[in-house]
Formats: sequence, structure tokens, C-alpha cells
Amino acid sequence: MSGAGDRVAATAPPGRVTRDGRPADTGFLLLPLAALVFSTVVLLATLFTATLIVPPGCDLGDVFVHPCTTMVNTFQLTFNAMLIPGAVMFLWLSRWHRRRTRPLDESVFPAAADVIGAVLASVRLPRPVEVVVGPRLGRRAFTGGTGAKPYVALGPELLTLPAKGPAEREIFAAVLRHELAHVQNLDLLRLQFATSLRISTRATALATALLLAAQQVWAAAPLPAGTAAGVFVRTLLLAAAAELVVRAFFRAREHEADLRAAAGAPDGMRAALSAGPERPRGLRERLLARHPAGPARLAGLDDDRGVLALPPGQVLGAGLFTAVALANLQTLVDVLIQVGLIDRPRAGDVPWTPLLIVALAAVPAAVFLPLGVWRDARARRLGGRPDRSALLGAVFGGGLLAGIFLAPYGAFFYDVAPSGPPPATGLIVCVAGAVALCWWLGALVDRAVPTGRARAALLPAAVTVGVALLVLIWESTGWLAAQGSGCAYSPVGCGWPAAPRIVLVLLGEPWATVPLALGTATLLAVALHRNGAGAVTRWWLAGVVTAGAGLVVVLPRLAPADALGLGVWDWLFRPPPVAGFAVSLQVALLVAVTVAVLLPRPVAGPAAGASALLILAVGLGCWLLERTGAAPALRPEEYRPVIGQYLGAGYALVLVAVIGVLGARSGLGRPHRRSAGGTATPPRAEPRAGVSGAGQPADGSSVG
Amino acid sequence: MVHRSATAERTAALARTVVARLAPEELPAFDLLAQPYLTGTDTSAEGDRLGFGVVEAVTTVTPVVTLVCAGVVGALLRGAEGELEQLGGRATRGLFGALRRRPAVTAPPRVEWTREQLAEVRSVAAGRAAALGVEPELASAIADAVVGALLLDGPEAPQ
Repeated sequence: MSGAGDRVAATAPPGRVTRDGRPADTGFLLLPLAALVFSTVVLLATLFTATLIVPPGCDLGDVFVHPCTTMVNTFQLTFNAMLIPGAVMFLWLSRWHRRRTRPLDESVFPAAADVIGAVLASVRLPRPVEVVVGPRLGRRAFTGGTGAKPYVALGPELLTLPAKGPAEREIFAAVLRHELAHVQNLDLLRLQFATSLRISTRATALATALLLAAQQVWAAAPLPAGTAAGVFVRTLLLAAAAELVVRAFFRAREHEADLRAAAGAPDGMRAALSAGPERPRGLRERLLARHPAGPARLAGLDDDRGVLALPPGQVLGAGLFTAVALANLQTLVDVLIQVGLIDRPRAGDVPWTPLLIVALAAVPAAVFLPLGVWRDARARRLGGRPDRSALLGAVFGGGLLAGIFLAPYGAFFYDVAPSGPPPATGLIVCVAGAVALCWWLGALVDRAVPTGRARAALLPAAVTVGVALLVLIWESTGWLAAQGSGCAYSPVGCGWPAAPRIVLVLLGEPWATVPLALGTATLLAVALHRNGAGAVTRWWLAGVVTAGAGLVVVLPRLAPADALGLGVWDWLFRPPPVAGFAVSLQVALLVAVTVAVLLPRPVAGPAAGASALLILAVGLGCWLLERTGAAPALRPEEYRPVIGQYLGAGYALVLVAVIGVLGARSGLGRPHRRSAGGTATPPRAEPRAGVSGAGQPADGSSVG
Repeated sequence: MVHRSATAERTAALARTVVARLAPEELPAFDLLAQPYLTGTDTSAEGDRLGFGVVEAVTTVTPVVTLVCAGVVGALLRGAEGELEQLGGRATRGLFGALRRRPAVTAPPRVEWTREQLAEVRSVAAGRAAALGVEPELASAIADAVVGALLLDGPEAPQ
């Protein structure tokens, strides 16, 4: 009974790698949902603590002052009340299911006991697994228990199968392997996590209803009834979306278990799945089912590339949950600033604390996106289909948009919603940013999806850049939304040019340029590494690029850099003095573009593209500022936020030239190759005397 | 041991006899296999977790036989559209009497089945099996086995 799959399973860590070395871990699919749940729970606990259960004479800002420290306990209790029910429900359900099983009597099912013993002996398990009978299971089986004490319950009808013949024995073994694969894949932990999350979304909806009801009764100025109803409906919609995402996650895990089981019992798996009903499932059934349909499972066995693909529904849900999580933490930050627990950021300073708090909501999505995009890129590449990273980015951006509108809790805090619906330009920025991020992630794995060490090496850079870009997207959208209510106070003016300028102002922030430069450097490093020594003949260029990217980080810290920057600025534009930070950035990017032009074409594309995005951004910003004339006069302390815009003016022209040259090269090169290859104009064969037509098709198609 | 009604006991006795002929390998697990179908337990929600789903390839005979036998016993109790009750006559009355005496103090008289009665019982069994989606060959075999069980052992067969 030991097959190839078992041999590999014996050498690979259980639950981590399947037979082809591909990562089998799809736990990252739940990360955005986790961000939603935790951000909601923290925000609601804060709102409860700040509004309803306040000790007399205390305010949220006095939380660290005796005797108001009891508010910490209040926060903790409400936090637990929303987060713990999920875990408790999972444990209770586990015990309930376990009590409905009984030990396997080998005298009643002797043939099944033999097969169970053989399969257990051939499968490497992370911990011992007990096989029991579920009297009410009929023809079903499931894996239960906790990660520490797993068990497999089999229905009595299933247990009679091995006694009927060798084919049925194979089917039984396959079903048992499928269940054991859940244990090997550590799915019980994921089930626990997913169950906790989905129940917590319901608990938060209930808590929201309680908060709304309490406000209606006790608050001096409660929310209008329509607004309160809207808040509650949106929490219900989020709970429904969470349920759909969790069920899709369960279906993905079933596919993984099928693949693992099929490695040990391929014929049995096919036989077990082939007997299913062939009727097509309706949309409701497809969305809500915990198991994929039989034909889909069979197709997954035949071609596991479909299993690797990232479902767009999951991406949409991830965008939705991420946006709501960002909105939740943004509201939390504003609450904490209002009560004085966080210092109000001063103009010109980087608001590190608020940024870091909001960034926490972006971290799960920043892990989700690279793992998902790379997984999907591998599936597409194995199938010979074009990469669709940008499309996934658009779907994610669509989810972000939906989340911006669905985020329910701002109404509790803002008298006038600072982020009423963002204007269309903001929505475009949102989608464009998501597309750029996913395109960049796809470009990192342009020719080969990394596994193992390479993947581990790329992931930190991808997560860093992802977090930064998601926060940029969020801040941009927030600024644009604020524009609607206070155009006169907007730092970049009004009208349509303000939309890209807001993004550019944010791109010019020192904290933002560092991760973006890291993104560029990562892409260049990957491109250079991928092409190897044979393709890249000028390794010193790679060194220059790396040094240039390093300058972005290092030079702003050095005093001479400012002097250098001043000199360069005076020489280029004169007169206003600037810091050297942006100069070093622009120099590094200019070097990157130059190198991209000089490198071989496969490297030049992604390198120039990545550099182009940044340089286009800063250059366009400068142009827009000059064209609109809406830029306020800069004071010296305001140079840092907008410095990249001015410096990008000249390099935007370089960028246009680079893109033009690359486009011309690829556009002119293809027809040339076609003519040289003989496809467009096949070489004419000279017929030899006496043999013309002998053994040749009459149309001469075999010539050449 | 779960307490079952007298009707369920009769059904189980008849089904056990039929299973012994059609699928003797299932006999050791008969109680486990037949229990949900005798008590009408809804098992559709069980195992809706990390599981394989319903394994359609499983062709266990006991559940089908149990449901068919339940149909036959029910038809006998109801009089099977009146006609069977007339045809059954003494047999049905004896069966009714047996079912209503709990516990049975004395064994009911041996049922004498006529050809028409058996044909009717077979028709009920085959129809029930077909309604359950059983293959025609298996449905026919189950119907024959039910008739054989009635002829040889009778519904009053000892358990």
C-alpha cells in the first residue's frame, strides 16, 4: 500500500509539503478575515469601554489613572466576550461530536480493521490518531478532535466496505487516507481557527446590536435610527461574507486532502469520487457547500493546477476584510487621539504611532497577497496560461472599494463622516494601487515561482512593500474622502489633479520611499539572480544598482548627503535649498533606469517597469503642481513631504525615453524574428531535378 | 441497546433474515447499520466537518433492505391498500394481533400465504426498493428475499 506519495511523505515534514514540493499551506487565506475580526473586536471593546461602561468621573483618556484603571478590566472583558465564544463553541462541538462515537469493535468489522491497521502503518502522522465508529454517520467519515488529540470517525456503512471485495477495499483505504491527510495537513488547527473567526464575526454583530441599542437608550445624542440600522445591516453582511470565505477555505482544504490521499491510493480515490451525483450544483450550493462537488474533486486529481489557483472570490473577500480592518483601526486611532492617549501628530512630522497601528491591519493582507499571487502564478504557468496578477490586483482593489463602503463603525465616532464616500478619483487610486502591488508581486516571480528558501527570502521584502503600499492606498483614499468635506483644508488643493497629487505627496514621504525603494531593489535583485551569470554579462551593473538602492536608505542619515543634495539641487534647478534625501532617491532611481536599459531584455522589462512607476509618480506630481498652480507656498519644514515631486521632473523625461526605447525594441524585434525564423516568409526550397515531388506533399508543406 | 418499538422490532427481524441471504458479510454489523433507519434518525447533518462527504460508492445492502422491510411491514399493518388486507386475511389479522400484544405471550399461528398474497408483498417490496433508487436487479433480489423470508421464517421469526 505504500506508494510514491508515502515515500515523499516520509521524507517531508508532515503537513507542510506535498509530493511535488509545492506548499500545501492555505492557512494564509484566513489572514484577512483574522484582521477583520481582531480589529473589530478591539474597536468595539474600546467603544464599549469609552461610552457605556465608564466609571463615574472617568474618561477613556484616564485609563491609566487610578481609580479609572478598572476600564482596563472592562476592555479585557468585552474583548474576551467577543473573541472567546468562537473557541468555546469549537471545543463544545468537538466534545459533542466525540460523545456520539464509540470505539471500533474489530470483531464486527474485521476486514475494515485490517485495512485501518495497514493504512495507519503506511502513513506518517504528526501524532497518534484513534479510529472510531460514528453510528449515525452512515456513509460518511470525518476527522475530529483537537490538534493535540485527533481522531477519525467512520460510518458503519463505510466500515462494511472492505468486506465486499478488493475494489471496495481500495475505496475504503482512500477515504481513510483522506481523513488522515487532514491530520497530516494540520487541518484541525485551521478548523479551530476558522470556527473561532466565523463565530466571532457573529459575536461582533451581536455586540454591535447591543451597543446600538444601549446608545439609543442611554446616550445623550444617539445615532439616528436609519444610521443605526445601516451599521447593523453592514455587520450582518460582513458576517455573511466571512461565512462564505470560511466555507471556500474548507473546500480548498478538501482538495488538498484529496491530493494527499491520492498520492497513496490513486485508484481508490478516483473510484470513491466517481460514484457521486453528476448533476450540476446551483450557485447557492456552490457557495455554501463545505465539500467541492465530485466532478470538481476528480478534476483536481487529474490536474492539481486548478487547486493551486487562487479563487477570485477569496481575493475579493480579502480586499473587503482588509479595507474594513483598516477603517476599524483608523477609527481606533482617531478615538485614541481624541482622548489623548496618542499625541496628535504635528505638521511635518511623520505620525509613526498612528501609521503603525493602521499598518497592523495591512500586515495580514500583505502576507496573503504574495502567497496567493505566487501560488496562482505557478498554477497559470504550469497550465501554459498567461499570468493574471494584475487581474487579481483589480479584484482585490474591488474588494477594498466594497470594504470602504461597508465599514460600519465610523458612524459611532465621527459626527460628520470624514470618509464619506470617496470620490471616483479615490476609487481609481485604490484599484490602481492594488493592481500595481499585485503586478509587482507577479513580476517578482516572472519566470519561476519560488519554493523553499527563495520564497522565504522574497517574502519579507514582499510583505514590507505590501504593507507600505496598502497603507499608502488607505491614506490616499482617506485624504481624498476628506477632500469632499473640507476642500479648503486639503493640503493639495481641489479638483481632479488633486487625486494623483495626494498619492504623490504620500509617495514623497520618507517612510514611504524606503519600502518602495526596497521594492525596486528586490525586483532588480530577483531579475539579476534569475538570469544568472550567463545572461548578465556585466555584474558590476548589479552592484551599482544595489548600491544605488542602498543609498536611498543610507544617505538621508548622513550629514554629507544633505550637502550633496543641496549642491545637486542648486546645480539642477536653483534656488530653493532641499535636503539630500530625495536627491539620493532620485539618483538611485536614475541609476536603476540606466541599468535597466543596459541589461538584457528579460531583465530590463521588470526592472524598468518598477523604476518607472516611482519615477513616473514623482515626475507627474511635479508637472501637475506646476500646471495647476494650486500648490501652496512651501515653508522650509514642508520640503520633506513634497520633495520627491520637484526632483522627479527631469527624470520623468528619462522614464518616457526608457519606456519608448523598450517598446520600440520589442515592437521592432518581433517582426524581425518572424522573418528570420521562416514563419512569415519561409525559405524557398530549390527543387532538385528528378526528385521533385517524390515523397513530398504536393503543396510542399514539408519543405523547411 | 436502544429501545425500539414493536414495529421496528418486526422490521428488524425481517430485514435481518433478508440481509443474511443477500449480504451475509453485513450481518455482524446489522444493528449498527440498521439502527438509524429503524428509528428514523436524520443523519444528514452528521460529519459536516472535515470529512470526505458522502461516499456514494458505498453499496451497503442493509439500509435499503431495512427501509424496504419497513415498507412491507407498514403495508401489512395498514392493510396494503385494502386488497392485501383482504387477501392476507388471517395472516394480517395474526400479524396485527402479534403487533398489538406487547410482549407477545404466545406465538401467533403460522401464517399461510397464498400465491396472490405473496405476489402482492413482492410487488410492494419491489416498488419500495425502486423508489429508493435501487438497481432493478438488486430490487428484484430484495423483493424475492423478502418473500422468501416470509415463507420460510415469517414475520414472527425469532430474533
